[in-house]
Amino acid sequence: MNHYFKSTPLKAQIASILMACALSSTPTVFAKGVTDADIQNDTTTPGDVVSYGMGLRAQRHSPLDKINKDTVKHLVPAWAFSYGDEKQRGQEAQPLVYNGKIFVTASYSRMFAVDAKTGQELWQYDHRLPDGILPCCDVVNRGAALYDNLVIFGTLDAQLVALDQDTGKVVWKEKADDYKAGYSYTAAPIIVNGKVITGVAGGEFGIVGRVDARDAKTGKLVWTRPVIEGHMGYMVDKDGNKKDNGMTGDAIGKTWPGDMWKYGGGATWLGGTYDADTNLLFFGTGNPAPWNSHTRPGDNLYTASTLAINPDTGKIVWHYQTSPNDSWDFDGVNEFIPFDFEKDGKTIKAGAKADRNGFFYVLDRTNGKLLSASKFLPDLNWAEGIDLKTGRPIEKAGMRPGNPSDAKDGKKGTSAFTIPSFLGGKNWMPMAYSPDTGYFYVPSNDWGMDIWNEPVTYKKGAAYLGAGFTIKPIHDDHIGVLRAIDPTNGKIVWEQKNVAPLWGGVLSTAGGLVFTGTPEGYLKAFDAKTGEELWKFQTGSGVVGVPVTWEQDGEQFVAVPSGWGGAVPLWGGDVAKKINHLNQGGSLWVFKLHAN
Amino acid sequence: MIKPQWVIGACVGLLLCGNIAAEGLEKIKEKGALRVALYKDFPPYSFVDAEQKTRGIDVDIARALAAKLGVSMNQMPVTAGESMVDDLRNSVWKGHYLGGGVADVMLHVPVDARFAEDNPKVKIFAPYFQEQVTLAYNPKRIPNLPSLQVLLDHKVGVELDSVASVFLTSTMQGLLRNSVKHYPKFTDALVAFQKGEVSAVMGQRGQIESGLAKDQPVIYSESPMPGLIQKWTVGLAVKADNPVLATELEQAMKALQKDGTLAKIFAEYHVNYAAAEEVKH
Repeated sequence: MNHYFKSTPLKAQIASILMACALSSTPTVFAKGVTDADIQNDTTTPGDVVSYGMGLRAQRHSPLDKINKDTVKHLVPAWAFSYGDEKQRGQEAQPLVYNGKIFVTASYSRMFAVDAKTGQELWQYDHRLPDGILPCCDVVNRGAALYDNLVIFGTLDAQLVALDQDTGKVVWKEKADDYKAGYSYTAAPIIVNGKVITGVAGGEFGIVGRVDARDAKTGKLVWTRPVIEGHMGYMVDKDGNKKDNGMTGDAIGKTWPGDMWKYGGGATWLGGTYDADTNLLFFGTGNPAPWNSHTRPGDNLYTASTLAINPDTGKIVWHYQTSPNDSWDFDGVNEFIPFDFEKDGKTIKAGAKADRNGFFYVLDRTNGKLLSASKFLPDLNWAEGIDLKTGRPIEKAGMRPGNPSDAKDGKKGTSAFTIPSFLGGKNWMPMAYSPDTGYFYVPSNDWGMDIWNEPVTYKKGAAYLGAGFTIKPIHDDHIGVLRAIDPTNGKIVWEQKNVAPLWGGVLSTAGGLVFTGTPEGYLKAFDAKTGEELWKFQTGSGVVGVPVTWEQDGEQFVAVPSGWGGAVPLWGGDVAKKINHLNQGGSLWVFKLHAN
Repeated sequence: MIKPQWVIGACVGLLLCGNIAAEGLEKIKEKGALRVALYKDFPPYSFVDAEQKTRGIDVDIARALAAKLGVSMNQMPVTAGESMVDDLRNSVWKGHYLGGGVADVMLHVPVDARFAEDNPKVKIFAPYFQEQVTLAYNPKRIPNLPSLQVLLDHKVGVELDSVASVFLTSTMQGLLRNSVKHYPKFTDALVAFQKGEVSAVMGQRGQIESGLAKDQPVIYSESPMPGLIQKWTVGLAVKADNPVLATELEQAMKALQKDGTLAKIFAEYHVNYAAAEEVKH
């Protein structure tokens, strides 16, 4: 379905015919099309936002400073745009801005193109979702990628769709995987040298995570790299012939027992980043399957890891695993953000990751060697720290749930209380890095979970040996905390607490500001150096989207989607009490400075 | 991730359907249909056969129950979540947050005091079948199985992420891990057993009995399986505040048992009927 206007289907049809005619008679006059150079330079061209992360390194930092510590108090709405429909679920997207248009994806695999100045809808694309899709945590979408005249995004039924930026018409559509087998897609793709690079999402036991590269203009597969040890990668030549491209890992199932590597999990559900200096893609991988770690002793490579992959060859250059033999669903998909810093007069090519497991890692991005690791969750309790020599966590005893098949007489096993909970010290929501302050701004959550083995559970009508878990807040006054972290020493420089869990992305600007949203509905601006709250605006529903900023006709704009949802409201327990009252929504808010 | 599993139904995709809610008995009779939640891809209980026909033991029982109420049966296919707590919430008492409504009754729900306690929003009743998880082996391959250790030299086929998989890969400090062969569906494991790719299979007795050819030599293991609940009873679940429907369905189920309908239905799928009464609680 493809709506040009919110009107009757007949009107929409006529409009689409008129638009098609107009386009065929006047070939793309304004749009030269997004080039690889545009994408590579996204960070330094504030007139547009052509990539997820506002640059492939995903630092989410803008050089714009018209909106700054002094002027932010004059920030007011320019316009708001409603997504309409009954499909008001979590709006986790980052908008893109190009050629006077904003492209924003929405819940249920929808995409809108809106006039950036007026907020008027240009077109809407509603992906037709089949019955029986099995995405995980709400029907979110995190954003799109721009290339040439295309805007490309993934759908809940695991398809990649490329639309014409001007008309919203489908140019190509490729199946990323089989939704019937439990695959899905919610992340924003990235474009590197003409290739669209994606991961896969899917929670079902039986899936294997991988990274795919396709020709961005046609959608045809170029290479695919499975992330679990023992699986073969391959390349596809121009005639569509598959060619072996080497096995992932050293040996089949080296760190897995039996045949469990075949179905090892490791979903790459959050996408990746790219660094041109080293020509490396960085992709995080998800938790191993099955959930019960007692059935799969070993490190279970490369689950819960960051992988560095050469985008030209599709080969893994290095890996770093954050949670070996993951027993808590800590997962490892969090974004790895390349950045440089000076140490002893030398420039260190580094990268940072705030992992679901509560540790903030700084690695040498050329080789994956650990430089430092610190707790960004001060209450973190499952490990003493990270061994700097081995790079492995120093686990505390008794922090893993017991083996359910050791349970006596079907009794509930011993319970462990771990911090963070399985929703993570930080979940999907992207952090930002400011080269001005040198700090990372991490949207984090202080919460823990009771986790125990459960010999009496049932699954599909049958007895099952599973686990029980309950998420619990650990402080009375907050769960969410926006933290500024100095990556050179791992210290928390400032923090700003929030009652509900934080679930939205962060934006940093040269105006000395840090923007992020709250489930309570606010978009807020903080002083990047001190953390002082300088501005807030109530958007009417929870903000779990990702803010961006750009400049048009001499004015600086800030945009953020609003619409409460995502994984948090799907979980009950004590956390629910803090969020039950929040209302859903679906809109895009754009702000600018009030003209005096 | 640990996930709540769910499905977008046809209704949701089109956003056309009204509010489908579990109805009291009167409304069901007025409507002329009983909406029954049945698992998808669950042979021999509920599945779609080669001719795209929905068949199965639970499907036939659901039809027979509806007939006793004097109405037709309307099926609500359920994709199994990570725990049946999710399935009961999505299919019986609350409905999935994406819409699609709830069923009047769900089949194949374990009748277990603790499970019932954990699910106070539903009433679980009318036990109709004793389920069992068991290991079946080929006597030509394994002449004798006094203990599970014998399996060290053999391959055992199991369904991915099933209780059999968790048990065999974690029992005896994981001694048998390398003997386990995983299959996406249990029917795939049964095919491998028939082809001789594995010497044994472990899963639900009904699935094994129904899935193996009659002439396939097979022995059911008597070896103890410590830590594993091997037998449980399944029954029906309705919303807790619907006692009239529960009473009527319970009577209907008793009648089906008494007049031999249940045994006949199980026999049609080559499953030995194990009445729920045999289970001691």
